[in-house]
Amino acid sequence: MKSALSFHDVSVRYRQEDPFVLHGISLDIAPGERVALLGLNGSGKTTLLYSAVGLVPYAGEISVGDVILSKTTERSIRDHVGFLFGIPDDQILFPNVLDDIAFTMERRGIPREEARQQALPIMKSLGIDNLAARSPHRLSHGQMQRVALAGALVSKPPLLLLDEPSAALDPVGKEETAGLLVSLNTAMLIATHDLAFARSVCNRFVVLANGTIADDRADPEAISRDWYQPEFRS
Amino acid sequence: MSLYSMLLFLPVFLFTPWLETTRPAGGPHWFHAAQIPLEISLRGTACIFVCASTIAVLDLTELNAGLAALPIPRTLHHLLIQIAHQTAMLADESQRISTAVRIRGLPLGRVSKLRFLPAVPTIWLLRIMNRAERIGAAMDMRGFESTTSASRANISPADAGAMTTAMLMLGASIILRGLDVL
Repeated sequence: MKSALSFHDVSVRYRQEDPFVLHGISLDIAPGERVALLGLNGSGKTTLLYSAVGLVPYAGEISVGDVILSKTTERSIRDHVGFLFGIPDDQILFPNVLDDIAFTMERRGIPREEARQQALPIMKSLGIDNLAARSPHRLSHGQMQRVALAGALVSKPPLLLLDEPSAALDPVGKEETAGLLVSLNTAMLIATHDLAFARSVCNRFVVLANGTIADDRADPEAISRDWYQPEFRS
Repeated sequence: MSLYSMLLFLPVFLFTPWLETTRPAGGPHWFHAAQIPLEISLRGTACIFVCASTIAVLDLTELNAGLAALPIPRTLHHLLIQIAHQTAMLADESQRISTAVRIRGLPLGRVSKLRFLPAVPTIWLLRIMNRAERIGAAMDMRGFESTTSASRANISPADAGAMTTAMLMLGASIILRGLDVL
């Protein structure tokens, strides 16, 4: 079966003179597989997510489904990926919640009113249907997180790349979001520090340390705590 | 909406051919010389006043709804909203920096203050640039630059009529002005 997302010997550095942030990463994510990406601050989790959609310069080969990432395929790949940025504020582009979520559908050619209608069910699932007319930037961090997540999920993409999806969510919000993610038949790569959230959503756990994959297993309890020692901080 | 916008801009189009751009040389007094710059600055101030008042009473959501109702391409609508929206975001970022400076306080001592203050614009600029970069990445990711034409608002016959009339009037006023000059 073809992978939903595949990295083959991928290395990333932001500038030629800089050291590699990631080096020699090879990872395959099967369709429907939910992978937690763990690691200390600066271990390269966000960079790996960025590289999957060509937001950072990389060497090696990345493919999403059957399509190899390149300048020409970048746009169509991005249309098949739901992406949640680490700072949700950055990806909210419209002055009200409903328009922002509906934009994801609008840019796929769906007329505005229809796109708005299609946005409503996911807003309800994430408990933000009452915020439809509100300005996203006047919301709490947790509410903004849900708005950004709704924007990523609304098009039902086959692959989700989520950077700290549980950050700033209250305990109820975490539970609801975890339940929603598990209910989706979607491959996902979730960068997180929240081990409890990762356990409740994911069925595979990958640890990054010093820009390489240090551990990769299905049992979260077997992840060595050694990877969380200061010497592995980049 | 079309009718209202036409009524709003009608006087501008009608008076365009009769706008005076040159005047005879002023009289012996200083106020004759000051008349033209004074008039320009008064008109300029009036325009700024109208713009500022409009911005002050318009909520960004209302502006968005208003632009969405206009028969303009969606790309242009999104672009205009982004300009307003991102300006507001950067203003928010500046506000956060200023709050942080207020809470954390300035260094004690005049020399330290003098050393610190020139660094503030650098910090501000860096944060604004980082933020703009992150927003740019998010816009790339969400496909902001390639909103499809299928999502454009439909142009109704009334809208098309109003736009054609406005263009014709603008053309006619330019021709009239040209004739006057000749």
